[in-house]
Amino acid sequence: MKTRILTVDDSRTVHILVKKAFRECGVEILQASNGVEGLSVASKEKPDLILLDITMPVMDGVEMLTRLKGDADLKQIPVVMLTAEGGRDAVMKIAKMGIRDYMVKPFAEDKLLEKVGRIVDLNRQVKDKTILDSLNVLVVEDKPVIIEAIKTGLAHLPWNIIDAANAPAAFEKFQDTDYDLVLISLSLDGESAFDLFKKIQSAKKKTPIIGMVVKTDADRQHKAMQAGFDGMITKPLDIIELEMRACRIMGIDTSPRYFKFESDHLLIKLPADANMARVSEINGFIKDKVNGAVDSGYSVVVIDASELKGLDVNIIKLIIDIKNACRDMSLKTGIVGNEATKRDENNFEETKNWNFAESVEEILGS
Amino acid sequence: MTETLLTQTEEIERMVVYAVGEVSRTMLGIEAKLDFRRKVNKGDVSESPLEEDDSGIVFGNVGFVGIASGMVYFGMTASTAQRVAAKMLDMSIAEVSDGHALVNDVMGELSNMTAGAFKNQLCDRGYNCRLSIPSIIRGKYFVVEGDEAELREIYSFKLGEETVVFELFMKLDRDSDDDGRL
Repeated sequence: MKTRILTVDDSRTVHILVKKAFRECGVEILQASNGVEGLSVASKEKPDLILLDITMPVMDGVEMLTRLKGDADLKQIPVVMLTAEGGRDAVMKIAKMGIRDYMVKPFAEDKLLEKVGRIVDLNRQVKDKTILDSLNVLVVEDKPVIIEAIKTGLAHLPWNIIDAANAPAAFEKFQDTDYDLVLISLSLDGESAFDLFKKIQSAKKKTPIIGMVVKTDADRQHKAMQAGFDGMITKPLDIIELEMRACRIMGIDTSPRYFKFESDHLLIKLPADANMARVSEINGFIKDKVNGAVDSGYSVVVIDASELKGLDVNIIKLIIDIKNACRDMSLKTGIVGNEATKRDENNFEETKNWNFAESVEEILGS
Repeated sequence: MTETLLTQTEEIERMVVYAVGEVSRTMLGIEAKLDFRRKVNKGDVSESPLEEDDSGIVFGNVGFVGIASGMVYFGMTASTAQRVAAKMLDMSIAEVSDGHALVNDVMGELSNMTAGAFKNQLCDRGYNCRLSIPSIIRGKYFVVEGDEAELREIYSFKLGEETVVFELFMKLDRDSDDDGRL
């Protein structure tokens, strides 16, 4: 039986964050928005653990905890406080009421998993798939031109894009193969997109499903959110956004797209489409990868900017961040450029002395 | 003791910077940099440091009551709030923009966390207080009058390219009937 965690908080944001944190853990998340609802759900569902906020309307967390501990049927349920109330006195007072742990907001997902994982079994799945694996993606869309745009846009990845033009055909294909992701157009006839969503969920609850919806169709967006779609992407599709959201929702490692540990150096490849989102994604990996380079005994990090279509403020800031992270760890850096980067390097004060190399070999040779 | 903390502006600044920095780093993965701090004198009307934006502004306000009492207004432009909400929840702008409800909720929670991280430091210095439930203000322009506050300061932070504001109203009363304990 699945581990069940009840989160009691008046904030929808916290419910979403908790659900997201445990997404990979095979845990069922129950929700309540105040102490009264919390007691009711706890009594009915007997969860394995309760995450409890303090400041809530109707009944606060201290009152709920008092009543919980006074109820013979419920007092054994472990409680972890998850609250912005974190003064020493408050923590001491509540700790004496029989809680298992206390976590002060803001909270990081991994710390929450660590604390909860000490109390209940979490079936934590390691991120063993990467963006460069052969992933199966089912696209359910009745407009051939959109299917073609997705296939063309994702052609640089080794993903198998299987398409279906309607819900029955999609469900048949879904049963044949183990899919890593399903994209469903919410513009399919009638309610068939939502019916298909339910059937797929019943068959394989863990397969992530993204809805594709026309930007202005607020009703369908709202309905899909309520139904529990894992994500939404608006039409007209931005393929870069689609790719990034798909990766995040599948929980796969995207760093191999940019970072490669070669035999004697770390290679950081900046993509041709280095927009804000990509720059932000690369930035999130820098610290870990530079640490990895140090652990591997490397002394050189090569930034390959040869595919860039030019330099802009965001790219320059990213490269500076990489250079600074390397400098802090005493790693040398070199940048491979192209005609466009050389053209732009004199346009910015920061880039005037960057000395773009012609090739990786030139940097390693020097 | 009461007067001492209120005049230690550097200490208060450290507490605010810690609070905003901790929330920004943990929930958004972005370092917050203090841009400037401005003291507002009693009775003065404060100008918002947020640059004009057609999208309007969103502020979350959270009170704290006890030996230390006051209010934190944590705000940004509505377009920044959308981007911040999308980043925090790992959603697209379209997903968080289904009406104002979700962005408002994120702003409420960020205000709650930020005010909490600030006031917990007050508690640990002996000024016990507890938080109130956050509420949200949306609009093009608003002014807060805080004549009862002994200390009123506006802190403007940069989160990357975005600007966020932490406005603090505070007074201290050792003889308060409410000891601020839970």
